[in-house]
Amino acid sequence: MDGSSIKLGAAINNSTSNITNNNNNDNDNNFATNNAYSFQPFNYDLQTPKNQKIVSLNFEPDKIEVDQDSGSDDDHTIVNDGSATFNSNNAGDSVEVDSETSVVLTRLSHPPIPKNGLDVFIQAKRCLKFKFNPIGANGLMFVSSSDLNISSKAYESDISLYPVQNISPIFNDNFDSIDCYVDYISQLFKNYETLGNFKYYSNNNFFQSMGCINASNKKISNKVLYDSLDFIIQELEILIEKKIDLKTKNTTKIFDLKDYLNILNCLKSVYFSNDSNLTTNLSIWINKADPDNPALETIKQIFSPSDSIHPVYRPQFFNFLNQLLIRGLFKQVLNLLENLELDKFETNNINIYLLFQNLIGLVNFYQNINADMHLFREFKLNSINIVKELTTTIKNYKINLFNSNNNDEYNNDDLKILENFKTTFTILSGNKNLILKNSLNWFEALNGLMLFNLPNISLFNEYLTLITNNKQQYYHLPNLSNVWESACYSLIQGNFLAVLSSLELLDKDTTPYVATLCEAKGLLHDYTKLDFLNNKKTLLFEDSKNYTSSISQQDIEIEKIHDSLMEEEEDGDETNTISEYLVYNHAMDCLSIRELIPVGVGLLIYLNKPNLKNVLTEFLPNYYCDTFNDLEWLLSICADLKLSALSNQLYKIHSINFLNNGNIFVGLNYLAKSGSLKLLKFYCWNIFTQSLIESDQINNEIINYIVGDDDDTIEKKDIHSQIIKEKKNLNPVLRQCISPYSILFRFFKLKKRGDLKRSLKNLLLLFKFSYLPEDVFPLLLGNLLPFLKSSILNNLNSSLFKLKELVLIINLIDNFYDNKLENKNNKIISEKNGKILKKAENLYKNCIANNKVGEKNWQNELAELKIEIPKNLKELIYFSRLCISEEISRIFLQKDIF
Amino acid sequence: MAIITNSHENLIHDASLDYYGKRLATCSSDKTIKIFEVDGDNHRLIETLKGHDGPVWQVSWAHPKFGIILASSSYDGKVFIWREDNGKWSRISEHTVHKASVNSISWAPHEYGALLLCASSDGYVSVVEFKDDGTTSSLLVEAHKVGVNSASWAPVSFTDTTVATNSNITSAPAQTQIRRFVTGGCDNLVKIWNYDYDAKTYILQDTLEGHKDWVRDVAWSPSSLIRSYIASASQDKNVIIWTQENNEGPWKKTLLKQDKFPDVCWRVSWSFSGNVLAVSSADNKITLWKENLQGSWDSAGEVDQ
Repeated sequence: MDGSSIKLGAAINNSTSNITNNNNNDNDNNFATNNAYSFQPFNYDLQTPKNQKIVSLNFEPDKIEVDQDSGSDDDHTIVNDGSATFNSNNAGDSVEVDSETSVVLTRLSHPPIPKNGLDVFIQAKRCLKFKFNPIGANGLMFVSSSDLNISSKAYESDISLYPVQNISPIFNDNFDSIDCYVDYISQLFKNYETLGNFKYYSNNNFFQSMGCINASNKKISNKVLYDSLDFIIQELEILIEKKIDLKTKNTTKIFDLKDYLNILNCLKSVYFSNDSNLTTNLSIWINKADPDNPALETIKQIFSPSDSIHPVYRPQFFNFLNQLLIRGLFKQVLNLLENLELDKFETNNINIYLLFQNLIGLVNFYQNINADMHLFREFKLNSINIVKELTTTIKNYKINLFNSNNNDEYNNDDLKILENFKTTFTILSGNKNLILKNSLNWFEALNGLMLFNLPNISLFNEYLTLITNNKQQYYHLPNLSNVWESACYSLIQGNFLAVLSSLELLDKDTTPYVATLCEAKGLLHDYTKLDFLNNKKTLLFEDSKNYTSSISQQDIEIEKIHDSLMEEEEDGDETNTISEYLVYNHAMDCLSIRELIPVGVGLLIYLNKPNLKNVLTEFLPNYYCDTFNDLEWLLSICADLKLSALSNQLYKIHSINFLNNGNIFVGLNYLAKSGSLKLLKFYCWNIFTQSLIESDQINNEIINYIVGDDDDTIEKKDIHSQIIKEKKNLNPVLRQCISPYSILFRFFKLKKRGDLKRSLKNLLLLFKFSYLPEDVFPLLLGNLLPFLKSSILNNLNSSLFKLKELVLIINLIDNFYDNKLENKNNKIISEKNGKILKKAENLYKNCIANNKVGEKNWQNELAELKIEIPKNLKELIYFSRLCISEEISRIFLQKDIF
Repeated sequence: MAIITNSHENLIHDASLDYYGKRLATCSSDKTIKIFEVDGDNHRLIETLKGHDGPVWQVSWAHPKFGIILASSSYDGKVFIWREDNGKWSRISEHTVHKASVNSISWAPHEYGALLLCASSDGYVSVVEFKDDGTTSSLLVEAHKVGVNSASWAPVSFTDTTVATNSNITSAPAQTQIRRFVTGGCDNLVKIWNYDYDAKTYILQDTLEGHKDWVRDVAWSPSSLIRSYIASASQDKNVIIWTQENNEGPWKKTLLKQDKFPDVCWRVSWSFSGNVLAVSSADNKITLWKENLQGSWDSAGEVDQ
């Protein structure tokens, strides 16, 4: 990048204003305080139905927030390497985007290729390689060779690894506000969850077919869907505000989200509202979408401090008043009228005073209609009557004015006011022509017609046709270059697919949730995913016709894709609804961000496609569990979907993790639950062997607590209550596998207590255990030696052994040692025996090498008697036999043979 | 994770994080493999594995259910299997059937067992099976006469005749399970191979023509939904996405980018959810791509040096 850059001017939507959250009526901000006709600044408080959030459209000049930066001074530069930079207000903060693709460009903080060194880099057969990590939106980049036989010298930059974070599409759009975006998506998912079966349109049909209960259920369904869309709108408003507060550098995204919000407000008012909230929602939509009108300049002109003319006599006053009425801003109308000091008219011009009172009365009346058509008719009748009366009054006034001689009582100014009043009351009576004439644009006219002509949802299309009919005197065409306006226009026309395509471009992640609601509402039930793609194709073709005369390569590709999709459709594609298609794609994006994995998995489960189990079986083992709760979550999914094999697999994977991290008991418990018997036995014998090598109980309080008796020294208070519970309900497979160590544990415990008889009894039990691994035999034998020398060691007169026990030991030694050495006829058996003896010898030597001086164990006990510890297996066997012979002799001498 | 400097004495050819991103294995022209422990932004070299007689091209972690196991392939024509036991690394197996450099290795989806796919410059690919009793067996298939540069397994999938249930994922060998991989070679071709349960070997299923120069890398998307996706990167500066519906029928070719990349495309890598593709090309950029609603591919991000 160098300094040369090209100014592009205003590229970012400059029609969008920030929505302010402002209820401040601070008088300091009152621009008309020094005026003869002071005017309190008013806020257009548009309160959401749930009263969770108030968004205000503020008319105070220093409160209104129009994006100054989005004008012609916007910094949008192309740099010489083909990337562009959007500069935010903060000096130095910039986002680099690729000029070709408009995607955010991430640069390494320590680039491996020197500045202007790319050619040299390539000539040296170097290349950059990248690999995605197995989980998460991360990867690794490194310098490698483009020639497999390269042997040139490598520099430091060549032998470094460059981690690259956050490379998912979700991150790409929200790179500096990902936390709030993750919160936002999580909230939308929770909202999606609460929809339950209401998300399926077929259920609505079901309700409709259920006779007397249908109306009630349909009402509930409509309410749920309305609340759900309302929730999305609120969350989107919160997201926009958070992004503004965070001063995100990706300002384009904020504009996109604001356009999105406008389209959602339109969707809510046109398709999700009922009779009681239709007009309110419609007003909210148009006033939020077009907050620049009525223009601030008009207020300034009306309340101009330059002269003492009453605002009512200014030409702009009635236009302003009419616009407020057509926009449904009734509170602001009353606020305006209250600030006019109308009392002056009571004495000077009673007719005008009464007309103002009538107007106030009608506006108040309208606000209490609450979708009561009877009251609405009464309102219209009253308006029409006033118009009739005014027509007569104006007629008489004109005659009087004509007959008068510059009499102050009759003048042109008052006549003009009367005529303006007539226009205003005619608008209130629902006159289509005047509503169109007094509207600035199509959506304002639509709102006016819906407010005063006839508020009925079924009339949207009729009104739209009327408004855009260019054969009549007054008409308004939509500005199709404006994203939200164009989309809203399509939406009211019922072209939902075009709208979803527009929404998809503005924010991929919100659209699946909106599409689900549209589908649930029945707006999309005639379409399939193919229609969606067809629609996109049509739009693309239409676009291409505007720019090229011939079909481009892209068109041909699209045509091919279309054909294949047609085939797919015929074959019965599984994801055949639009919302499912969008939700699936969104779910896959969520899986690349750890915080959104539960959302991704949850969405896949709700989609419940036949291959769901395959996907989860592939994906869930990848999820790294930081806590037990994580694992519980994974297992609960397995349980819900009856994925028992996956559940076993998860237990197995995490058991190994726990074992590697030293959490032995949990690891063993999970292994038992996974059904991996081989591994469980392996680890249990490992514990047993380790204990024998150390000639003591293993250093693991939990395992010792599990295998110990209740009266053991381990204090229960040191043990987690869950472990105490687990001990009581120990997995039978684990109980069986760990039982040899349990006996060994008891042997060491009793020996330490000096209870030699019972201690020996446990040791002999182990000798008799037929499944004992042969390689630990020498270690058991070592532990037997002090008992064979007990007459000296413990000054015992009588032997601790019975003769038959000693005979058993002799047989075991023969079987273990001599038989293995002798059997040399069979090569395979001989090799196997050799391996066992070698392993046994290694264990024995390992035990001797790791003996801790000072500890009470068999080696140190023998050392006390000045007996040299046998150095190897051969010496051990010889010495053991010697001791056994001595002990047998002693038993004979005591004549206690039989 | 922060930048890891001076990790090797010569050029790095592969870097791979394990299943949970906790261990990083790298390999290099210095004939060694290094294992790093990764904890958040920190990393620590815990082992240097030596034994190969040439540059080590690739490393690949086995599924954690088989333990902590790493495979490495080298210019010396050998594939080594390494295992960590209680913090100690040891070489537990050698695979020496290839007569030239082994350029690529890849562990199969764990449902197939411990199967390792190896692609070699001798023109063959081999599939080594590591059995429970510690023995190994291998299948050798001639894939691309001039040499195989890369090979990649397909995710687990099933034929249409049986609904994939959890029970038949583990009940091997299921006749309904489709076991496939893709290879890319110096003959400019991409080939699809399918395991024939009767012949007990891999049979050539499709030959995909589209590249005009060596195919440097192939990657089968790990997503097993809707359709199969394969990305192939070539010396001809193109990346092609090959798609197939429902695991059968013809493969459809889509150029990732209508215009060629500015330089050779070295490597393609799918995100783990299989919906984002990263392309490493010789113009010093890593570009990310995502399929749009029309089925063509949009740039979804870019990493520049």
